[in-house]
Amino acid sequence: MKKNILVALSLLGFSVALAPVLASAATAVTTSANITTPVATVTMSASAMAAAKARGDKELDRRIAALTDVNARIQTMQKVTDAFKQNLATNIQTQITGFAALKSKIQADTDAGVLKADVTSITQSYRVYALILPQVRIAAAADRGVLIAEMMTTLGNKLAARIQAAGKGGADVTAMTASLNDLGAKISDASTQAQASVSTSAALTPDRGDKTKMASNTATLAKARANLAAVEKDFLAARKDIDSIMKGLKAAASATTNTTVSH
Amino acid sequence: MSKVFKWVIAVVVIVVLGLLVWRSGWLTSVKPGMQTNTQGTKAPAAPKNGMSASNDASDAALVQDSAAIDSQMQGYSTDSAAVDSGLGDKSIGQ
Repeated sequence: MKKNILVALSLLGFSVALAPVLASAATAVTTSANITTPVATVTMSASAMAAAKARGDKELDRRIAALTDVNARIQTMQKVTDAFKQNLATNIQTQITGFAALKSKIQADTDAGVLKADVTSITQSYRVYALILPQVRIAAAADRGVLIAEMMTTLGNKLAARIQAAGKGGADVTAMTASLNDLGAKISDASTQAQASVSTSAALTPDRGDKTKMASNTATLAKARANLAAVEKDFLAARKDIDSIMKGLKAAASATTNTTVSH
Repeated sequence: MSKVFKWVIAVVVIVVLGLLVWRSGWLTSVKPGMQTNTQGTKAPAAPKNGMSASNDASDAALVQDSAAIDSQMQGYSTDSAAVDSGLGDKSIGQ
């Protein structure tokens, strides 16, 4: 029980720490909108320019839709403050507004070099798919991870009380206690991994075409993704512990009933 | 002063005093039959996300909590899959 209380207390500290780290993700969303790509001398036929404009339009629409979707997910996060959610929503809206302006600019481009630079900037400068969306989605997953850890801690404390009562009633609680201890360890590790996923990824900024930086960002995001996978693995194991304890409690209750009846 | 008139004055004074006491809230702050909470304890926060009450460790509550956790774990799988979907960005062909 004491260990579960300690886990619960550590989770309180963890949920507060999640908010400041996510602020870096908000900064990345804001700064990427101000980056420009250098213009090269390019010649393009009218049909090629029309095709490039159509591609640019399509890619911008996809990104706007994805940002709108992730903004909706942000609003359902529970472990960060409302002010932070609003800040992130404002930054995403700024990004969407920037894309709308870029869309108009691309349609109005008459110079092939400028058009190519504008279309290239959609991926290289903004990196919505390669960086911004994964950053925010990692944060959203970590947020839910913290929530699940809290819910499991609450349930764990109830199970601890039931195990204690079963022990006082004469039941053998050795196996249940072992499962409870493992539950606490899995919750604790899941919390650590979830925090690590955000700490790792939130500070990244767009590579602006720098391949070395892009490779580094990709590797860091993969590491964060591995943290999230570890969280899921911990939760699956914790869930089995919960099932095991509940079966044990049921068996203990049945044994008590049979003993009472036989008397 | 007649006896009747004195009684009328007395009744009026009692009624006025009663009204003043009532408006001050002294009488309505403690109603008969109500228990006052002198310890200042707060009610436990309402459970969220489908969980049962925090002080309910019955079999039904444990089942409810397990189901609530399962629901969130499904959401977590969805969130993790969404992270994967964005990691394969490619430059737009020119």
